[in-house]
Amino acid sequence: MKSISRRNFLVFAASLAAVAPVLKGLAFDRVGAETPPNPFPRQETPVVPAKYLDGVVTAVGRDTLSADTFRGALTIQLPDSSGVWKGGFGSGVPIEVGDQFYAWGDLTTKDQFAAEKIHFNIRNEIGPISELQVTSAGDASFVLAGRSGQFQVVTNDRTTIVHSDGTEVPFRGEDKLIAPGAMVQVLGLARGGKLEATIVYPSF
Amino acid sequence: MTVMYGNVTYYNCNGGSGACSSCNDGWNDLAWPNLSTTGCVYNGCANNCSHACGDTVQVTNLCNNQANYIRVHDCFPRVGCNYADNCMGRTPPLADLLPAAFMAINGGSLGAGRIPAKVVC
Repeated sequence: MKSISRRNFLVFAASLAAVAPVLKGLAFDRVGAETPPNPFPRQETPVVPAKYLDGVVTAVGRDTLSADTFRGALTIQLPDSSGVWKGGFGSGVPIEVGDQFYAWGDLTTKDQFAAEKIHFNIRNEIGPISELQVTSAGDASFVLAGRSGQFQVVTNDRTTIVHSDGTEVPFRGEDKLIAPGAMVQVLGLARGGKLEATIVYPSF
Repeated sequence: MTVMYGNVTYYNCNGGSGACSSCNDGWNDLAWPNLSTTGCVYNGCANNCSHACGDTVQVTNLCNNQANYIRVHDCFPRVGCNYADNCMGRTPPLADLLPAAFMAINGGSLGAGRIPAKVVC
């Protein structure tokens, strides 16, 4: 008896599932003027993603650092080096007091943040270039009039350039896409008054 | 709805304000090149649909399929149309995201300056 009831219930549930879309359609037809939910709702107030953090380093430990952030003074647990960007992920460039950072991770307690990714002194600037100089080794330096000011950009043997098909190759100063007046986007490390380019995106 | 393919990058507020309100690197916001609120239109590279301050658009990172709804808070003048991303080589630039919005669809990373994107608006 018990098993028959169970079977009947399953049959009923399956039937209901089969006709549900039809019933839903009929209901929508009846209220034809009803507007479907807006997939892109307006948002009047800003939202900060829970995993986002930025701030300035105030002390550096072995696997942690202390920082002033918009969430208050925090201890940040660093990820392994592959998650630490300072001129590139895993570059090994030392973290210093005063470094500005952007991090992604989780607030594990009210004063501790476990970072999955963290970037120190990263800049992403775009604009025209001037005063281009190319060394015999193929490195280049130029002035970039970026959105947030002028930057003295330098390249090195780790700098790459992105071609029009998306391939990323080692940068060579003589690249024809890098010329005075050209529009260029540079992602790099702000250090010592210069912007050390890690990736160069020329405009084709 | 309009679907566009191209790429997106990110920018920093640097203490400045946006066309719609103040600006904060931690906001899930973007700058859009066709802003009805201020009448700013930079549609020379792609025909972005018109949006007002506070509207949201859906942005998908085509490199990892992470998607998010991001609020329009500023207008951005495109500085060139032919920047390619280094994952799929897509063009043109479609929007400029604030760091938090960019990280949210890029695995928490700012290590690439451009990512290929689908934008639905």
